[in-house]
Amino acid sequence: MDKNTLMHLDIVESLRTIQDVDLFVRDIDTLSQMLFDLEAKDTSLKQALDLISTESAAKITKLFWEKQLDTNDRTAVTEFLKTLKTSIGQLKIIKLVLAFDPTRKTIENIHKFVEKNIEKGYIFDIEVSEDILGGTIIMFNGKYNDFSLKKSIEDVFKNKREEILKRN
Amino acid sequence: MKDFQYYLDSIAEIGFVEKAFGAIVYVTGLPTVKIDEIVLFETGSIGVVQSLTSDLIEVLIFTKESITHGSRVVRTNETFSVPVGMELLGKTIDSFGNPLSKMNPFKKPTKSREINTPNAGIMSRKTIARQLETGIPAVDLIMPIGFGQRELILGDRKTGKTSFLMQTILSQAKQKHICVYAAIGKKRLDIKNLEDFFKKNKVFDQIVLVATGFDDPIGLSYMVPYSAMTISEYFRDEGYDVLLVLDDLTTHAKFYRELALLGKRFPGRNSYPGDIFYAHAKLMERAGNFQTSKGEKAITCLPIAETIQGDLSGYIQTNIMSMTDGHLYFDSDLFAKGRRPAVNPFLSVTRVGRQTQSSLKRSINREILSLFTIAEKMQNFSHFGAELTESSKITLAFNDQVVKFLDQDSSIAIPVNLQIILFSMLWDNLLRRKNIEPVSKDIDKIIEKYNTKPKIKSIIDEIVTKTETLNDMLKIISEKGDILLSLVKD
Repeated sequence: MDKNTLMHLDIVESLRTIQDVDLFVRDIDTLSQMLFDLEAKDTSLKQALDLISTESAAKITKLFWEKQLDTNDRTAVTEFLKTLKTSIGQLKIIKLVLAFDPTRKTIENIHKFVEKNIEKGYIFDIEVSEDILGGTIIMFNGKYNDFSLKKSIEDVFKNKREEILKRN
Repeated sequence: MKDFQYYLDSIAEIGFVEKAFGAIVYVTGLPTVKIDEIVLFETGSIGVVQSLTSDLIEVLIFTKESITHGSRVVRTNETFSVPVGMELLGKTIDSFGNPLSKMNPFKKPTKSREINTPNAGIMSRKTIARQLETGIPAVDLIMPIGFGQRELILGDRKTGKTSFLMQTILSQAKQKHICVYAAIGKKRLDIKNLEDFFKKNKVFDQIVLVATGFDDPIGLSYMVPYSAMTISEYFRDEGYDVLLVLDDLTTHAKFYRELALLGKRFPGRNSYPGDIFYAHAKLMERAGNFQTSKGEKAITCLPIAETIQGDLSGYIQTNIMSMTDGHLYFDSDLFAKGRRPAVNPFLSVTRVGRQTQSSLKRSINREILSLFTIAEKMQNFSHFGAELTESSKITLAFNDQVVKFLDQDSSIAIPVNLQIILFSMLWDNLLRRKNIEPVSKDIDKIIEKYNTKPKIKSIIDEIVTKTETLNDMLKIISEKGDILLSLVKD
């Protein structure tokens, strides 16, 4: 994983899904734009942070504090936000197809499993399709693995058709 | 081809469309995809992998429908191939071997061949030694073409290039050779006219017409010459001599330029990509005279290149000139003067064609070219308003007679041996003395006699085979000319 990603791993780790990433990136973009405008208007960074979501603002403020960044140095802040955005862009996407709409807790559990068994720095792109009945389809790095209940049932019918028909 | 889900389950690889620029689509994923592999989109569209980078796959698509960002793509583990078989004869197909018109469905052959195959090596090639009869005296006697030769057909629009090719195909098909016509991005009406012409002349069962309309997807048109060459190779391996016409490579180059620019390749001269020469040369190299398991068989390739206002120095035109064994230049000025075919003998070249000729044909060739040169000089001289001598007037009048003999109707194909006899009679002034015109109905009758009376044919063929030079032939004509003429005329 890239050095930049490791640098902001805490904040990056908090992102779980592609929607989280989209929202956070949009907030970074808004903040960057506001900082650009602030140079002319001479207003404070705090006012700019108020314009983005509270969650994102909290994360970014925490980061500023941790990195002991001079918030009055607009160039340094802009550069920092750019690096942060690049780091987020390096997150790897695992596409999951699920039969149900997962709760935040379920997503957390799946994420924990991935972190434990593979590596940190992954996010999920979750698609809900009731057609698969259960289980999941995983698409990652161009690989496609169908662990759905639908596929399992189809396989059973394909391989043991005669046996099933006999029993009936 | 199976459906999307089949490939997804069996190969277990997936890709997603990242960017789409017209016929070029960029895909991520598909970790083990190969160059030239067919990929299938979830919409049912088909594409072929053009190039690979570390994170993106460049795919050329073959459908008119645009592909949207995020569409899913699967590998098929199949390379671009075209169905081949005798069933293709008399069919008009696209680059995939599908019928061009849904009105004429047919059962596709079960065998198929990869479109991009390596060229045959030098060991399997043979010297070009057999003459390909076009049936057109202006070509057979002056600019002969050999079996396996690659001869560029060059000229402005509406200079009779297609008529010449149709005549050549007609002549070859009648000799039971296979002809493959690649019509690249043509008007639908033109394709239909081609088909009708071959059907009318009852030779369509010897012809495969690989065509795409100008409104067909650009990728499909780009692949036409490659498919046509693959089909030609199949027939060659089946033991046939094949005549392949590529109509035309300037249009093909334009399609390739469009694809290359869409693919953001660096534009070179006239915005063509740097590998345009390679793309055409690779294709041309697949033609030639080969030693196959079924004997010496050839793919004679006649690519067409269109010039603009007679400019022979165009980029694509000069490229193809340098990769072919000569070119026939169709001159718009000669066409306007009424010459058919309007082949300019001074600007045309045949590099290997002459080696296929007998010493008699070569001596006729020399005499005609020298007559043309003298007549040209005299005509230039007469432009100064100088009074011409009697001998000059005779030479010019004789030149007119020869030109008249070489100008034949596009529906007439004269067998080469008959061309030689008729030319010798003309050279000897016999035709003039007997008041026979070397064109139209008189010629029709003579050709019919030659083709229908085996005895007359064998006499003429024997005379031509046994004669070494034009002088010897003229001697024979002066001795037996009258009898020969009465044989073929009455």
